[in-house]
Amino acid sequence: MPPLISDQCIRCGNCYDICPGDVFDWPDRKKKPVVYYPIECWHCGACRLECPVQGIEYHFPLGMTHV
Amino acid sequence: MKTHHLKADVVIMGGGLAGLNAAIAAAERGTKVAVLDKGKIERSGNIAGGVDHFMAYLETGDPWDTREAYLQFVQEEGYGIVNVEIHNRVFCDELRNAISRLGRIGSPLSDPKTGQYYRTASMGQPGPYWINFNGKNLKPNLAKEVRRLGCKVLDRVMATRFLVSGEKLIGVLGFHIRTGDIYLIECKALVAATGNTNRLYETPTRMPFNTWLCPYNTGEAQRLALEAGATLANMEFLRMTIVPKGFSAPGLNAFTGMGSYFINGLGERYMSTYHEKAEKAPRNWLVWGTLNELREGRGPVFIDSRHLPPDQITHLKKTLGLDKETMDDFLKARTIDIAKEPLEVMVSEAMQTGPIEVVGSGIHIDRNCMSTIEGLFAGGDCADQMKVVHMAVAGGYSAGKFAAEYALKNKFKDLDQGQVREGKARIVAPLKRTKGLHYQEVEDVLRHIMAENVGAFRTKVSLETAQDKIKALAPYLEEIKANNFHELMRSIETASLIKVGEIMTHAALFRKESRFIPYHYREDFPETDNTNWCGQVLVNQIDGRITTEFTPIQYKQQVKGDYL
Ligand SMILES: Cc1cc2nc3c(=O)[nH]c(=O)nc-3n(C[C@H](O)[C@H](O)[C@H](O)COP(=O)(O)OP(=O)(O)OC[C@H]3O[C@@H](n4cnc5c(N)ncnc54)[C@H](O)[C@@H]3O)c2cc1C
Ligand code: SF4
Ligand code: SF4
Repeated sequence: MPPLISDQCIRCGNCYDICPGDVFDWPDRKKKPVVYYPIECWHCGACRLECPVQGIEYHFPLGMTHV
Repeated sequence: MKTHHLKADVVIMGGGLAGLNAAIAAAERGTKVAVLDKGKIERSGNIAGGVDHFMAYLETGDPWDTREAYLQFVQEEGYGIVNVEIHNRVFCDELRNAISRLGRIGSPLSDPKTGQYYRTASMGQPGPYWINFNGKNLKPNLAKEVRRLGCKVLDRVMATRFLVSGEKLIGVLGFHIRTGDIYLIECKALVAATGNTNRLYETPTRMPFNTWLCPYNTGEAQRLALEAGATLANMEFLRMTIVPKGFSAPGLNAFTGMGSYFINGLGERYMSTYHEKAEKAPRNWLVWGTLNELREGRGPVFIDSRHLPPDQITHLKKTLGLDKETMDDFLKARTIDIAKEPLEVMVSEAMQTGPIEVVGSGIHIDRNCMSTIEGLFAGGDCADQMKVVHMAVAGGYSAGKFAAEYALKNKFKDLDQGQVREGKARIVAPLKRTKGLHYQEVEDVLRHIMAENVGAFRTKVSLETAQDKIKALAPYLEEIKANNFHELMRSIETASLIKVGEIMTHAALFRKESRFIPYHYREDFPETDNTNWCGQVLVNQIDGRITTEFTPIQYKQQVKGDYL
């Protein structure tokens, strides 16, 4: 489910910081943020726009790509 | 949960597109401004991921490109519910300033290389009023300006209650959606700018957050204003659009502006049978035509761009990506190339918002953007006379300007501690419950009721059925349990959704005619009746009960110099 945080992530926290829907959590600052509420993602693209590396990839559920 | 007690001359509730322009206006006038937003203002709300179309006349010498011609278009398009005088004052008076402000902060409407405007026509416009621009960084650029001007920005603070003294707004309560801290802010004026209401109707994919407009805008300003005693208007109208199959995302303007066609399952271009402007017709007609094709068994429906020359296809693809950052990813995931094949489309979910690009729905404002409650102003999609980007930028600025002028002439008032206590208790209630319902369970039922009974095809019976069902659902709000502050935010949103659903149902039942079909299509009153229904339905809440009344609007034959 959207989005996925890849291994490129440098743990800057931007995605957690700016997501308009508060979809991420970041309980352990030594690790990557967590996509905590995937079904609440609006696919707005803001997390990717603010990611300094290629840390964010979007994966659309089948209910969007195959209907 | 700590309480932070602050004072600001002007509070901006919702730091979206309208709110940030309002904040700039108020700060430029020397008032102390606080901005609160559920998100972080750099990327919150509808344009978190960017925008691409700005509606404007530019006075280039063409007869359609004047203020007068534009207002004529506004009158014709919004006939019955648009107030042309307010439009002229809050939008036209601020348009030049808005265009130069966008340039100054680094998101110009013209091409930065050539200085030229790329203009297209659609949605019934008499000439190309849409300016295509790169609004990818419009939000961060505005946020930078707001911070530079010294506004106090409270990111991740959700407003939950207005504080009033008599018929005056004197403060607002909210909480931080991550720390749970409570914010009590006293103010002289407040600009409500939290957008329209989404997550109100079932979506075609049954995914509540897969919505055209921002699913985190859930009508709080409309609910809070009504509860504080303000009047709402145009609330009977829903809005829908045409979106790619599976993905409720904007892009229709880009397609129709470039000249793409709608085709049905038989390969026929169908729009010309519904409207003389075919694909260039106003949005409601595109939705109406498409709904009919589907209802009458001529689906599936497609947008066909194959006839466009390569340079236009390139421009179209770029514009689609500016409007919805993830559109290209989606089309790739569906393995569709719009240059080579038609794109299957669907009718989006419905939502509460102004029916047409030139007129809004929500808090009823006067020519100074003030509601019927003194000190409460509104701008952007939650105001009854504003809509989409051009009005959020120019009209939002007007709201901030008038709010600041009012604040400079007024004083702070003593808070009613009873209201504060009650407001705080309401915030924490869902956290305190040891067991209860998840917010989604209640919301899902509401969406089902709304889609089935208050949708594109409404009747007295369906609307009364909705009224009964919403009434029976509302008490379950008191049983919602939130497990953390994020869920607390969602639970409060659910309360707003139920209230907005109730309001829409009442207003739709009251207006016994059809207008902007299918945005208010009463199957039992299918005609538009300009003799009896040229005007707005006003909604109030008295002793907890919704009331409706009608206020007529009179139009001149032609929009002439008297508005200018
Ligand atoms: C992807 C997309 C593309 C679009 N493209 C165009 C376009 O090209 N041209 C055009 O004319 N229109 C476009 N629109 C419509 C346009 O973006 C909106 O009409 C416009 O943003 C409305 O401005 P607003 O300030 O009212 O709402 P928003 O910009 O959404 O701002 C509302 C803000 O209020 C905040 N908020 C909500 N509730 C609360 C609360 N209780 N407490 C605190 N804060 C709260 C939200 O977080 C948000 O930041 C587009 C919409 C979308 C979704
Ligand atoms: S796409 Fe938007 S809503 Fe989804 S996680 Fe990223 S920032 Fe949040
Ligand atoms: S923005 Fe990118 S790099 Fe930063 S935490 Fe998120 S995924 Fe990682």
